[in-house]
Amino acid sequence: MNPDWKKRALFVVTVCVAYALFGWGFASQSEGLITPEMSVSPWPLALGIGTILFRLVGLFWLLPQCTYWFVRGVAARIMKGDG
Amino acid sequence: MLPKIRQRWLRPIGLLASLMTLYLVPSWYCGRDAQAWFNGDPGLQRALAEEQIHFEEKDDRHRVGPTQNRFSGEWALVTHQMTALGLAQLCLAHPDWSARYAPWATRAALKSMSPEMRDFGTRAWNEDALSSLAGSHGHAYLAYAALAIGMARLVDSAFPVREGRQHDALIAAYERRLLASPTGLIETYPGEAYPTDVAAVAAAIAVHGRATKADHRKVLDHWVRQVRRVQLDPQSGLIIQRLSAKDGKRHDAPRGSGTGLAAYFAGFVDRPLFVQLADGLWQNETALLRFGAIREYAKGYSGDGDTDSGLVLFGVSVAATGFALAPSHALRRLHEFELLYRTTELFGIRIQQDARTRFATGGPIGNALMLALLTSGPEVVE
Repeated sequence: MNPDWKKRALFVVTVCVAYALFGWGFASQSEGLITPEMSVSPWPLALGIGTILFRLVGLFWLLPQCTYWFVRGVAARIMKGDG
Repeated sequence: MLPKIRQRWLRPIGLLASLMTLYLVPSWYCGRDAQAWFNGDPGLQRALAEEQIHFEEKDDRHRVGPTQNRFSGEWALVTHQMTALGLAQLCLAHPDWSARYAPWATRAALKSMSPEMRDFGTRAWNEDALSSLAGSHGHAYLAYAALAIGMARLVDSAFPVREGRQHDALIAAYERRLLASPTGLIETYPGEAYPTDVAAVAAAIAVHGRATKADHRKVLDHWVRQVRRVQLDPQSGLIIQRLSAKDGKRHDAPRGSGTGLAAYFAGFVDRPLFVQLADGLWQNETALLRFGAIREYAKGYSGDGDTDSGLVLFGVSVAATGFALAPSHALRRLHEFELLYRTTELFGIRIQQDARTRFATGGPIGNALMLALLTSGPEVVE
């Protein structure tokens, strides 16, 4: 495997795992986000902010970036074949 | 090695694919359930309703007493009120669901009217709203609970008689105070009048009329006239957030959050006004990458977020965007609904657990609001 691809794969997996962990943590803790006294609990809040941040990064940066890498790689292979 | 001319194409091809992904995929991912909510999917509606019933049961066990903070008190009252409204709307849309949801609508509505829920208003006025019905103080905050009680009375034939009489007396007081106001405004707290809260007063009076067959046309016509004359900013189509009840002098800007909730309440009272306020909201809608949001401040105004609007980011607010779901759903505007729902899902993060679903970042108040807003329609007057 090309070292560039290894780095990219590691980066993508890291972001996905972080999103999954924050998301799972938030899903299990979010019922306690707002207490019966209507105040906000800090721990679920931190998990929620983390989940939203990783969701934004994943959807609006990582996904288009992966598409770019993938399509560019495929196009390069096709052109190589033509040549 | 690729020939240079071909290599030059690789970057634009990759970039084009990347931009297409950016435009299409996040909005598709966040809007997967939009059509189902729009079409009133029974599975989704029931799952959110069950989440709020679960909350009400838990709240009964854990509630410790009145909160010392006004905003926390408002949150608690609105949580139970919106739960009651959402459940009652489901009963109107699906009469066969009433056996399950009407008693819970009553329970949540009665809780929103309880002394510990209205304590923040009692402390603000230094008098209890229900013990001072003959007085002229507005106490408009309690209209949220009065509207919930009215909807519960409409759908629950077993609604308790004593609380029904108390509700009649409160509505009579609101009717008298509103008719006496030349601006169509009554105060929420001393010296503070909010058109959105008065829209809740009008909605409470209107629903009381539906539940008891009492004729409230005179006061409701008066309110509709004064909204258009005094409370609505004609340029932006938005409601002014805060005014003087005495002379209608502006104390705040025309804002999306107040207009969004006022539009939902206007739906209970007068359809043309409901449509007019909804148009005002959509005029102030902005969209990026197929995600929609409502600007908090009308053009030419600016300000920060507060307890009414929630977070204001890049000029759009959480509250205005969420509230605008109701008219988009009730008036069957699929395009606007999808744009707004995608943003709601992006930041709200809907979670399905067993037979229940919730928007994880909203907490009980967010879910109560979502239940009422995403099921809006059956309550709207023809």
